[in-house]
Amino acid sequence: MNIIERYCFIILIGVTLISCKKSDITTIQEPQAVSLEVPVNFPAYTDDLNNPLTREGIELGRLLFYDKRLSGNNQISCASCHKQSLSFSDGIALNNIGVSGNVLHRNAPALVNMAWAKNGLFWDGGSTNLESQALGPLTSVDEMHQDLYQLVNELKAVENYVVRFKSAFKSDISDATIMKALAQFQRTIVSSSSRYDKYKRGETGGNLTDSELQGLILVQQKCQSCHKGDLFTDNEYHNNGLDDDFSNNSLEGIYQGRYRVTFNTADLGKFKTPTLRNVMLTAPYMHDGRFTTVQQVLDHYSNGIKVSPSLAPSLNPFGIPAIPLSSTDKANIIAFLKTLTDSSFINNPKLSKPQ
Amino acid sequence: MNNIKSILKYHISLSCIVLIFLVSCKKDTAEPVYNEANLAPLSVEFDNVMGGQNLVLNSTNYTNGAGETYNVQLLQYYVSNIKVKKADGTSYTVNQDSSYFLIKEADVTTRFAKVKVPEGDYTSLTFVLGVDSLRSTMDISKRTGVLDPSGGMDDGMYWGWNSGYIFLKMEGTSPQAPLDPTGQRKYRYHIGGFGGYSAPTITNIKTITLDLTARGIAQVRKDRNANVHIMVDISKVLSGSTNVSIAANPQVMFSDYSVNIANNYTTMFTHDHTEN
Repeated sequence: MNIIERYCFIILIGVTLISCKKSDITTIQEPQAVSLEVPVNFPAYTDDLNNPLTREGIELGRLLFYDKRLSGNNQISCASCHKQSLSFSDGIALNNIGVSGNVLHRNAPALVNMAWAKNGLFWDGGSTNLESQALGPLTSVDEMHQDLYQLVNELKAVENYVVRFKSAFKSDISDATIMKALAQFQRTIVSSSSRYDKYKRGETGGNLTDSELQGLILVQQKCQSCHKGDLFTDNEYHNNGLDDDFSNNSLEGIYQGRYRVTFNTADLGKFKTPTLRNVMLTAPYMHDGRFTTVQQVLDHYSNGIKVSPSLAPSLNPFGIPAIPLSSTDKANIIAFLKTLTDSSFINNPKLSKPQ
Repeated sequence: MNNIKSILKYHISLSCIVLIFLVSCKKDTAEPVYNEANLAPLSVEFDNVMGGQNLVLNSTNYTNGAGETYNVQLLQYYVSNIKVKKADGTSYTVNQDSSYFLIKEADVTTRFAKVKVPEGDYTSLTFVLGVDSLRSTMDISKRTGVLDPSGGMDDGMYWGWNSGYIFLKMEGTSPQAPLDPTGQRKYRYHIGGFGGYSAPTITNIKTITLDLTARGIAQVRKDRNANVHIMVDISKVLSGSTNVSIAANPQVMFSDYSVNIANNYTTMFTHDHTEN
């Protein structure tokens, strides 16, 4: 080697040493992959590619879901408006328990079978997926009003969280991983053990009475164009004839339904189809909680539908805006809907507040 | 062994040649041969002005085309997807991961979008005002830095209720604005809309191309920092194809009307000069 070569050689070694430095990270164990148990009467489930379910991620998400640190005043958690006993709804038409104390404009939706809800979230579908959905309630001044930078700092001060984020995501606490953990937990909120499910799957305890069976047939005939299949929702958006005037565009179009997101007039007054699962637990009903009982909901469909250009065609079949239902029909439907209440779901310790 | 030795020797010699080449480039004034791997710094300076004067937040009042008086309390916007082009048509797009900038009037350090492009003489600059749809819908953990949606609150640039970035946010007060619930006469323009992730909707992503030939091409070299100085005339937000009346439209957020403001602000950028 001549002098120049020798000099370069030293530089090369130096560069190599520096570049070695980064591979020196202590090895962290891979989080344990979890595959969601899909009931045989449910559609297939595909895991989120960017946020696959892991045991550590789900557990962390559950901890966060019940943690009041997630609100700006540390007084409310996700579970304050999504109570397990009420199928993760809150039992109030429009609550005012947010940080500002203002009355909200939308009913807190029940969280059921979220893993299959892949066509937008919120009543108007404004949010893309569960990961970005969390930003809405977390940051809204009338909901949790949480500064996310501050939240990251608050959580970093808790050793248990530091360790858990490391093992779930192999990274430090960040807003992205907070939302990913919450999304993972919510995807495990599966209700599939109602008496109806047992009936459907031919399991013990799956007996339906004549009235309930009559109700099931009526639901299949008259409700399942929207409350589809065994998820009892098509995860689509429909104008179900609650209103016929959508000219009020205040509050960034909150009264205009999905139109506020798409600006397509065909979407005026359209809201997301909620599932009928656990419907007896999720009163009051509709995006603004205007109906207090299922009876009122059925009365709306039989003789309260208001016509407007975006009304769901299935609610205006022959130019008559109604689903014809006798009072016996309604009683049978209600009898059937009660079989969709899943008591093992609302008591599932894996979904409840961690001790 | 001999073989290894000769390979090693070859590599060492080669790296020395490269090193010598790099050193020898230093004071060359002629345009170097274009090589995409030969990156050098380029900055684009966004100098916010109001008509012909420097924009002053809060304390200065301005008049719009509708004759209304207003001040500016907050002004920030995203610049992304920077691209440069040479006279011979060769173009270079900055690696997307390093091509998002949030220009905030209140923070002078944010006025430069600093990128790396191959050494060369550039006659044209292209950038997006806003955040493209691909990035807007990307895995949340890939949206870091200025795209971190954490700032989703008071001066944040993200809509929680309608997943997506606010591209330009301008707020202030005007005696012509109606009283809002907080007792202020505020106007708020939050313009965004990447076209929707599932259903098509408003698109306010704007691509701006500026010709640099008249006011000075950018001579990008390793030993200097070419700076393309752009004047951003904020008065254009309220004037252009639509003269925006603050009294009539004190709040424009995610709505059809936002398209008018976005069309206006595409004309607010002019190339002033280039510091080479």
